Amino acid sequence: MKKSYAAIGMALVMLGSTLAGCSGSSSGTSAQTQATQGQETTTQAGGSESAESNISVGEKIFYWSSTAAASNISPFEGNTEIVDYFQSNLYRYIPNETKDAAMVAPDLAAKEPYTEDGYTWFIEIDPNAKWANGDLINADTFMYSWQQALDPKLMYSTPSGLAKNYIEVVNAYAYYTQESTGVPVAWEDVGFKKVDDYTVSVTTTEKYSALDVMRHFQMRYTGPVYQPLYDSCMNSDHTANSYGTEADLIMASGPFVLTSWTKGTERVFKKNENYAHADEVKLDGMTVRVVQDELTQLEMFEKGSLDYLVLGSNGETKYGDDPRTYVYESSALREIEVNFENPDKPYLGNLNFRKALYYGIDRAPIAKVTGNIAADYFIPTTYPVYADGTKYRDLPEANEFRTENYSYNPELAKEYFEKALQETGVSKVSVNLIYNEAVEDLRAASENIQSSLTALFGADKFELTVTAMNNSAAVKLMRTSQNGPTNGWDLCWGAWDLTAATYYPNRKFEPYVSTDSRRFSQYNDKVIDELYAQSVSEECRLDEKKRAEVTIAMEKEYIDQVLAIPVYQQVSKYIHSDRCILPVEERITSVGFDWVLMDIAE
Amino acid sequence: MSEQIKREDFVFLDADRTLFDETFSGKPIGFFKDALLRLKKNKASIVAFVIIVLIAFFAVAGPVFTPYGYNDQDVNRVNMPPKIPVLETFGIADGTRIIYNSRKENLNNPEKFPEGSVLEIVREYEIKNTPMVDVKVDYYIYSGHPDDYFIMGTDYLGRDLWTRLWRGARVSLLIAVISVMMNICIGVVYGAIAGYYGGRVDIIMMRITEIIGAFPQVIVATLLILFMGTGIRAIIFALIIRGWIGTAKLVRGQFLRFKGREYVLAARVMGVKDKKLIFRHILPNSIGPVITRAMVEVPGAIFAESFLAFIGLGLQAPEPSIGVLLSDAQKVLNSYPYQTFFPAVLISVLMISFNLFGNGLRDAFNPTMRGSD
Repeated sequence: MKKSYAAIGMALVMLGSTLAGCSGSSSGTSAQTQATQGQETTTQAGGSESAESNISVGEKIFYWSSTAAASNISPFEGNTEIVDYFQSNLYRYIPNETKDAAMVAPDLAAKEPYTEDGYTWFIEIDPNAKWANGDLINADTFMYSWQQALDPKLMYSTPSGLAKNYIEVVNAYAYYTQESTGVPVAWEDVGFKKVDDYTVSVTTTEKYSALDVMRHFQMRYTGPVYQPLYDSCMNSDHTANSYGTEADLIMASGPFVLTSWTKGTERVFKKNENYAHADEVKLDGMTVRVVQDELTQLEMFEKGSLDYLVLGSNGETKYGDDPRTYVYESSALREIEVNFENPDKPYLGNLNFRKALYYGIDRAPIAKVTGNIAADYFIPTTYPVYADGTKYRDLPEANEFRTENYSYNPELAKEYFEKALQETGVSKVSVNLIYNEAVEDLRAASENIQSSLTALFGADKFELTVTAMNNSAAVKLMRTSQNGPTNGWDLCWGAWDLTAATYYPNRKFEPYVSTDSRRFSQYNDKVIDELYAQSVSEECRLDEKKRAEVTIAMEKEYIDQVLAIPVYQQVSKYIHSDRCILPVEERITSVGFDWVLMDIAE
Repeated sequence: MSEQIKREDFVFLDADRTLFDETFSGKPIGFFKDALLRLKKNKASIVAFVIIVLIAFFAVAGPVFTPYGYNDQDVNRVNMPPKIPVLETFGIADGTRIIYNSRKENLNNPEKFPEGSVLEIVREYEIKNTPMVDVKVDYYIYSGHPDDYFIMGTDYLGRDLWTRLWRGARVSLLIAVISVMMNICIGVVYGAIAGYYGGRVDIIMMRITEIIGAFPQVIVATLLILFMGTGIRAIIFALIIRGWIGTAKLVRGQFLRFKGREYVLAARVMGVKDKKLIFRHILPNSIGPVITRAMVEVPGAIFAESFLAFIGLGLQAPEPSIGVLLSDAQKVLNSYPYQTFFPAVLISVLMISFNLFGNGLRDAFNPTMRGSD
């Protein structure tokens, strides 16, 4: 009996210890638990202060979720919008006066850039610009940051855009690539110069507009890094840098400061009082939770744990008609990329076969089942082509190549298919289509295409298998084509969404130019090469009508040669909680809903 | 003093009739017949067996009962709720659904709510000054298919889930049965050799099994499927690669137990060769435990296949399996729970049935219970 009592006593003690342990974690050991509890108190109690949390209910905290568990949020390596919440650039997009479009405005810059000869641009930095710790941001900050961004040893991927994107800076790309080209370029020869403590100059290769310069310097990778911290994060042999990999390894210059970061789980931000435009920021903080599962996100939203939700299939079923739901056409256009040079499947390089696919895909049911827009075009409906906001797709001449039913023409498709079989001398075509396993729409679209094309061409002549794959693995696989012909893939979904194309639709064709490092094939289209070169020439840059004409010709060539097979343009749906007071009523390109400037209802 | 017994005092009894040994009243019962008798008395096992046979029957013939193919898509009938004749009159599986958060003004719009589709307004409320309703609709009228019946509803591409479920059950059973048979074949031969020869051969062979067995099943299966690609063949191979080890150890144990018995020694003395000793004299004694193990392993294989499918390593579309259906359904669990319900019930029933049947077989083949009933 005594042993039994002792055992029960031990069990109770262990249970008590366990519960005490749980209690302990809520009071300080886990940032994640803290924030969760604090948030629950905020949304449910609605006024009191949580004894176990460091977030009081009176604070205006915006809670949202991200599916991206980014491991690096430095301006050079972070490819998530999270970076934009704690980092400032020289310029930024804000809503215009009528709040129906975006305009570029100074952020860390004091005013718009100016030039005397059209080549050398002067940018003055706001003397009040500070880091979150109060240190000043000046010309030296940017000179240092830009040199690091173009570090030829580290060769960060996206910062190469600092050398040439909206503008091309003299010798910048040559400096960046000097290790691979073997042609040494001194930093002094690059077109970035310090003029005085608060002025830098940028020398470009051609003439550009001030708008182009401002758009260039609102890009994430043109932002500043904090020198003392960045230097300390560099490893001894200068081959890696850990800046931006932990909450205490990054310095904020933007609206918020990252106070805690639980990898793969949560990031907690508080308002940066030293931000140059801190008076515009109404939120006290922001908590970003990493939630991959749509059902979990939905449940969290319904329980008030999230203020904002991207609607997936479950959410759309429930909130599709809700007045709080925002629907907008995204610029993401899903097309099927083709491995033209697959040595085992020469029919992939056959134009008639690609045309058979283009005309054989019935886009309307795919759009219906996925809730998107059927797209037989390459440039999405969202891109403006003229400065007055005229959309490219609204130009009648841009739609001349399109036919009824979103270019679905089964008879024509069969004709092309038979021709392809004759020309390539095969009796049966067997191809595989890879889709991103994380995108449900792509799976539904792939299975629909698989079923419909097999029915159209006949199972005895056509076989299509579909394979789910992790996105980065799929991209890596497609890029193997850059090293020469490969049989590693046949067809794969792609979606080029280039920032620069947002205002210059011609830039959308960049990845199909034979010299572009991102393309998925060795396939060359000289017409595209020439037209693209023309579209980015000074003549076209300064003449938007001419640029539009060339862009239309490029799209026609793209469709004629079926460089890829466009299928649908994505439609996005969002819902936000009632307590969110948004600064804009409709989503604006480049600005979004402008969460940074939103308010929370008391 | 003493009285002598005389010879005349003795008489022969039954001298006038012939005596025979008594005949056995019962018939001789062999090992398997005895097992079958015991199995028959285990009612749970018999019920489980009947269920397995029924499921197997539907897995083969189920898709025939509907006019739809397992990959017949129709985007105008996606995610239809179940509608079953007869049951629908009792309000069960009647093809209705509650549509949440609809604007009230849309109720009068026949394009959104066709005539006769609205059955009941469940709740009325306002969001941002907009009158809203949760409304119960006949989803078949609502989506323009008033005369159709989908016993288990349809999926995200409008495919009939009844057809897909039985097709999936067929695939799952096929994968499970083939993989288990392969495991048994490999395991029996491997275990028999190790157990029979013993010594160094046994030590080396068992160390090999331990090395293979040291790798977690999920990791091995995942890597293999990533390497070979998804498909029935890859999944079967993934289930075999380390699934045979248990059988091998079981058979080895049986061989260690039986190889020293007198009848084996006698056979060996008479010059019977190893191969014949292994497969004719010793192995039959292990057959009971092996069959039992096979039955217990089938649900394990079904479960493993479902698990792989659930984590995205299942079959290539459009081929369904129970795991693939469950994986697809859990993504829309909140909105269309019936899509999870049917495959979940089927896999549960299959697992329970195979386990009960396996338990019955284990008891039936247990030599210590021979002749107990």
